[in-house]
Amino acid sequence: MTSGANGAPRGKIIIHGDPDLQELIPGFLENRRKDVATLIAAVEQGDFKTIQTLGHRMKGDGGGYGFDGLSAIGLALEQAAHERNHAAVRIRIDELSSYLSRVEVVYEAS
Amino acid sequence: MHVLLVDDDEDLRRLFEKLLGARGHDVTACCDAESAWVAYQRDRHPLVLLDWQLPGIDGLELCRRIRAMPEGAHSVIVMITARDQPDDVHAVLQAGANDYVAKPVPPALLKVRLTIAEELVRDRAQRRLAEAGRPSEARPEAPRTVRFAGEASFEDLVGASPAINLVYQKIRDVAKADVTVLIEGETGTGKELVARAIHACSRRADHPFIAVNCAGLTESLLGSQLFGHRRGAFTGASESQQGFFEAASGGTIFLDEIGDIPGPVQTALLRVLQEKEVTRIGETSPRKVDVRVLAATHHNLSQDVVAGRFRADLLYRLRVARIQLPPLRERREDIPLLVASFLVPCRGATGQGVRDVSNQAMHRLTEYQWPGNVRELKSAIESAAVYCRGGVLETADLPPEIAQADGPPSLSGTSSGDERERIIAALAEANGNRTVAARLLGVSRATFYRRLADFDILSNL
Repeated sequence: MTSGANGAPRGKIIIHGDPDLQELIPGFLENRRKDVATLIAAVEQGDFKTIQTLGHRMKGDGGGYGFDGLSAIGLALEQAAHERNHAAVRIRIDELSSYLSRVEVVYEAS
Repeated sequence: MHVLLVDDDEDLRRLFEKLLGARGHDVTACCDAESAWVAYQRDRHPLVLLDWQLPGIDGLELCRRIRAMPEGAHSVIVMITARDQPDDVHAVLQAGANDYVAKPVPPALLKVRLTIAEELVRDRAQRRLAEAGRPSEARPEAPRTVRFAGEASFEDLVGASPAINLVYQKIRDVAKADVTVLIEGETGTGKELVARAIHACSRRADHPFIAVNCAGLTESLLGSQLFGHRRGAFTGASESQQGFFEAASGGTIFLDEIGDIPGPVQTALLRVLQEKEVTRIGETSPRKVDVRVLAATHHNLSQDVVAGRFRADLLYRLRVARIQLPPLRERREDIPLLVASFLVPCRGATGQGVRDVSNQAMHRLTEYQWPGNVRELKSAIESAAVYCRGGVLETADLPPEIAQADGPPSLSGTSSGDERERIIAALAEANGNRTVAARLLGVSRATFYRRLADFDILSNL
């Protein structure tokens, strides 16, 4: 998978999705959008355990589906939660939200 | 194939189910180890993909339980984890898993690892069938654990071929004994990685590992670096300084290109090995050191001894144990796995994501002779990633010498003398079994027989 501008509209993150995963990717991204709501609630309640778990999973899942950016955000979330750093967690949630609003997946036959 | 998949993450279960289903497998997916344990006891799945961190019993414990069953030794277990802790690989192998995959794992790499796991399962099934056909008194006992067989990586070494698995086994064997090891192999085969793996698996792992390249250094500079010097010992020695041997105290020193060290340094090194003490240049009193010495060379040191370039007594001290690394052309089946492992860091380095390699490009990569071995392959992939325009690396992206190369001209690209020695060594390793010896060298049986005839080996044995 490739992310980057490559002639795409400014601000968009273009991901070249694995055609074998085309059916699964929309559901995967939808689940990450649900994660945003869960993370916001968790940070409000100081529930760092939930944030750490979600970050850990995102780190593991993202690259598997071809979204390296999500893996990077997941890792940062996991670390911020481990350090119980409210501010850092909020920054990562914003990053996640921004990533999900800008990501666009295109599929090519391999 | 019946596959047991254990992961508490629903998205990842879906991903694996999809990929496994597309490969024609029948998947039992479980979200925790308890239900997976029940399923395994019922079905004895030949392939188990196992997450480490699970609610309740963790994946490591489930792996141990499976291995503790008499039938559990036959399953191939791949541990998949995002834990990313330094000792994870060791713990996974200790628990009896065959392979370790670190998440996040790109789809291309995942497919390669699945292919290797499937091949392992098939190999085992064939072996069991063959064993079942033997008379009962000749049938070997089923192994209790299989953790040394068919791994796809070990420390930083990558490869699942029989030849590289033999190296993994030897690393484990020599790591246990605190002896000097000579690591031999062509340039770029990964001699330093082997040294690091030996250190990491040894009781010295918590102490320093110091690698020294002995090539191209003058006698005085190398002597000073290895053994240290006293202030004023020579022009420019403004301060007393300890050498690498002292700095590696309690740990391991790796002397690369040992065949290139000058005669007087050979003598001093022999003293270190014999007396376990070093004398700094300019001092008269020796200092005790507790350091394990690993050495590597691409030379034939026996020939260097005959030619008077290397001390025989030093060679015997260095060669208490030996590990011979196979050149890449003798383990071509590892190339797809190595390529996949090199593609992952390429994403960050080039700013372009390369998710796969076209069939034609992979064909070129597996046909090329690789005189520079794994180092050359890594460099070729990094270079190709720079030129790759899409997500798939094509033949045109490869360096010209690889893109335009002809197929392999012989069993080995080395001199005939080296090849003959390798064939004889493989035969000895395989107790004379030619099929096994051919597999160790990564060539077909037909090619192996042809080369035996070419070198007239059997009539001379």
